Amino acid sequence: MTINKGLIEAINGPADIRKTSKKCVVNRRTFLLTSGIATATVMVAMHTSEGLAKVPALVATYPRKLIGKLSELKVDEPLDFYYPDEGAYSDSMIVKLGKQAGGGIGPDKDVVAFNYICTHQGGPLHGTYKPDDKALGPCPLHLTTFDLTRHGMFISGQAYQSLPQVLLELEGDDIYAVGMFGLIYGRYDNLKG
Amino acid sequence: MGTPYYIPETNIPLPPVNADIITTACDYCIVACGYKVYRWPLKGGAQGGPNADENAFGVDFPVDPLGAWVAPNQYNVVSHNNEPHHIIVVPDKDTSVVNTNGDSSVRGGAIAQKVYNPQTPTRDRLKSPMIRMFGTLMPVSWDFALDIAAEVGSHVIKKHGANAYAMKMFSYGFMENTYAVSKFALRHISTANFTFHDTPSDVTSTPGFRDAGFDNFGPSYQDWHDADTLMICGTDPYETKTILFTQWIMPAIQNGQKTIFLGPRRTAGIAYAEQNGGLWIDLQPGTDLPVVSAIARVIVENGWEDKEWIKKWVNNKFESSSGFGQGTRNTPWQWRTTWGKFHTKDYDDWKKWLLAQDFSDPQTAADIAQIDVQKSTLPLSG
Repeated sequence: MTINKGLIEAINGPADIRKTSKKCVVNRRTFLLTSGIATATVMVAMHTSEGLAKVPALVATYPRKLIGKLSELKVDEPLDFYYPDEGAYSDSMIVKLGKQAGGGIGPDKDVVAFNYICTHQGGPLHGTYKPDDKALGPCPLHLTTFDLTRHGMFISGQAYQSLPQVLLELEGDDIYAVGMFGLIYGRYDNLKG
Repeated sequence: MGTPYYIPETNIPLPPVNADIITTACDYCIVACGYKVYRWPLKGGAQGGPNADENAFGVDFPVDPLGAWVAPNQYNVVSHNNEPHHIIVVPDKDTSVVNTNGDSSVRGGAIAQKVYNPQTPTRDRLKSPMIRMFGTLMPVSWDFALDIAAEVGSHVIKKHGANAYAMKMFSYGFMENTYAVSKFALRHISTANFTFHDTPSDVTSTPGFRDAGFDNFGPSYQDWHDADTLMICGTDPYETKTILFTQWIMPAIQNGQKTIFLGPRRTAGIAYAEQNGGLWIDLQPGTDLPVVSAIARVIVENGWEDKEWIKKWVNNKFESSSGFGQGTRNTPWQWRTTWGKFHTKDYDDWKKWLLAQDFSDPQTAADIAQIDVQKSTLPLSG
């Protein structure tokens, strides 16, 4: 089996980015592209067929929901919304960090959105945004803190997973939520509850 | 195949009602939190459902906070009886001690990830002895490796004596391992060059403490919770013994326990204590000894020590010398050769010694540790 160079590039990032130390901060385009390719890779392994569309299948099943306008966001002032539905633990926040972030959209790649429920034991992270560290937390239950510039990876604490990140799309000035990275606390499937 | 690029999962399979349930304990630190493994075969495709009567947890999904949620990191597929099985490893929600109500650290919370699965990074696991032949490490059979180890060992003992055969072991492993390795070293090889855990030779890591008559594993988790004042030196248990902190110390801090941390970094547990009436002495690494000595000096100079407790519980000279099985008194030859040779005779002699040390002077200790000497004398708030 020959190794697809495009796949390697998708895994490790473009050659010029690979040289820097910012591997863990991928831009939105790279990670959507990557999720598409990696998903296709799993299929290739199963069906040994090629040429599957590089469509991010993981993202496509989620509702596309208008959540706000880019021009109305102020740095370090989170806005709340619900996603992917309005059921339990759908509380989410969008914030303009003023600092480039993994998955960030907008001209400064600094607008990100996350679920509000701690991925340890379901503590509420509402109102815990820390502008100095661009973090959510500490969680009132067991003190986990999450880095919003790095896909919600935890800084310190007990959470089992990164904080689920809401994937965003910008259309003109409108911001849409279009998918999620990571399982929301309390649910066994993001879309089934 | 393993996912070459980390794409966070957005769902997990739930265990069916008839899944095997195995109780176990976390193997990371000595806190020993209770865990449960849920296991069921891939064959047949059985899966649990979101209603309480459809899954092995007996709960409805979505679950409540502190509930039986399963993070994708807590799921894996393993080989059991040569058949692939789903496993879910989660803190035991039925625990009434240690990790009460099923709390867990990030280490224990992700135990499922380290279970052997050739499709994950655990494929790198060492599965047989390796011997370097022609410059390359090659897997060999256990019989072959043991033959070589025995030959080399016999040669070393014959040529240089039993003490040239050194053995270092881990002592918090299974009792069977500890027993077998100790017996092999002490009875069969008969080497004095043997030690366990964190010590360079067969001694305690806290000799003075043990010689004074205390067992450093004495306190129960309830004691950590019930203490009015708790001084923690050189560690933040939130990071190292997480459940001891979040289940036992943190509630105590909320109830007014005065918690004093000595440590160079303001880690999360220290920051929490500080915000809730605790004190952080931000000393330079390795300077705990003069700082602790200075604190002890202030206590004894002011007569604030618990005289009754010291009289009742601290060893006198004869008790230190005659004590056996603790600290430097682990073996008969240590017991004989250390009789009467302790640094101080008893509490009063220790006090005299402490007051004579220049580094126990608070200003000197503060200079060594590069801290504000006044900080330690501030009344604790909260």
